[in-house]
Amino acid sequence: MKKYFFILMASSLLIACGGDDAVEENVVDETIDETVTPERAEKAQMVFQTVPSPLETASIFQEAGATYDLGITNPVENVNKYSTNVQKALNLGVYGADLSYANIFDQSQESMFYMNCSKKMSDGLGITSAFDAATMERIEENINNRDSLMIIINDAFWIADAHLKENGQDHLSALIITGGWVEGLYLGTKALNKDAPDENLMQRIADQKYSLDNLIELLGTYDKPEIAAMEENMRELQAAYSKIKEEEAEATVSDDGGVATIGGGSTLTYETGTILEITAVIEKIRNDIIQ
Amino acid sequence: MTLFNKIAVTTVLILASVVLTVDANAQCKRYTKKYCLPSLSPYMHNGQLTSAVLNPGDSADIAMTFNAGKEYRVLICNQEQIGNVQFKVLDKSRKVLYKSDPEQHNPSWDFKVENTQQFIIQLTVPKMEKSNQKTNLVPNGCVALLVGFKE
Repeated sequence: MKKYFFILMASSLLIACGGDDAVEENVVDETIDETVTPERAEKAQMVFQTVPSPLETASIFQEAGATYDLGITNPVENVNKYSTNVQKALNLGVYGADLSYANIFDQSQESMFYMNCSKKMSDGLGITSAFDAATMERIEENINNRDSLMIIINDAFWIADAHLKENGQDHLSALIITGGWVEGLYLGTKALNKDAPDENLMQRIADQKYSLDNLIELLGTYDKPEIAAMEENMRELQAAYSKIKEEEAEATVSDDGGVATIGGGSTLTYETGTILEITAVIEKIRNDIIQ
Repeated sequence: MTLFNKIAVTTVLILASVVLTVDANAQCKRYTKKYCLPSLSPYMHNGQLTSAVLNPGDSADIAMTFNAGKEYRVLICNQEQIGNVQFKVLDKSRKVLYKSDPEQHNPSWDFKVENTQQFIIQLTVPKMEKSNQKTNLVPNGCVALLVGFKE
């Protein structure tokens, strides 16, 4: 029961624990919160990890200079190849990322294709409510409205996520997240010119180190063989990412009357060869998923 | 009570709590979409629906990555019966970078980062004095953490 309760709570991405008695003030100060040390927090599983959505990842790479390339997404004809729930969940994530990618780059026609692929994967998992007739109609009406379409896409994926969690299939939800994250990073790495890699793009690829750590933590909360296989793949990728050096400096907050800016903190340094190695590993993992 | 009856009662209670928890979390997601998401505007929601039903005195830590070059809004939104949920933004060493105002309902903070960073958003539901409780039942309520971004 305790385990089941944990799964239910974890499914909501928030883990409850004992409260903090201190009365806080709305000021930025430099004090260290000593009520919970990182070690204690991890031990008690109070820290829960989140992974950026494919939408945010696509937006990051677009800003870094990536351009749209139809030839690198998962071909729509692959949609009929996926028969197991694990394949469907992973590729629902993949097609969701392709959908976000097409949408961020205002590719209406491709967005519609990937929406249909996502629907097929979702229906195959028994989640017919995510991409039901009303949703598909809203999509067609808003196909040229990028912001509205993003809201509808988010909505559909929340329904899918909620359905799986409410039916005790959290692990499939984690696989959707994994598929989406892998595809998002893969699309970003494919924008890299290996002969003359762009510094900005390489930095964004390196930045995914944090998300990968979170993703591995997330997968580690499930005791399922299909999750363990994917976690192993992610650890292979983590081995490549471990060559990126992380330097810590004190984070500072400045507020010049506008939006606060957080400076300092962690900085990542890397060799071009490490980024190219990451590119190769993520391509292998991604191609295994879409096979 | 016989052993069989004890087992039967325990099973019913367990199943009831599971069903109620699942239903409460579904309602929480609906609450978040209807009442919390609009407050993120003009920021674009990052697509993560992070919500749960919490009790007074509960707290939760959520690790999140914030990317360089983007401006973010972190928004906490909760049902009123559990008071004003507060949040802190902590860096990796758990240094407090921001604390919300305890008097503010549904607090938010807008910021940007110079380098991509991993932070912990720590939520705390205030404890409730017994004298303020209308019944002996401990109240609970939906708490949502939403993050929006813009370029």
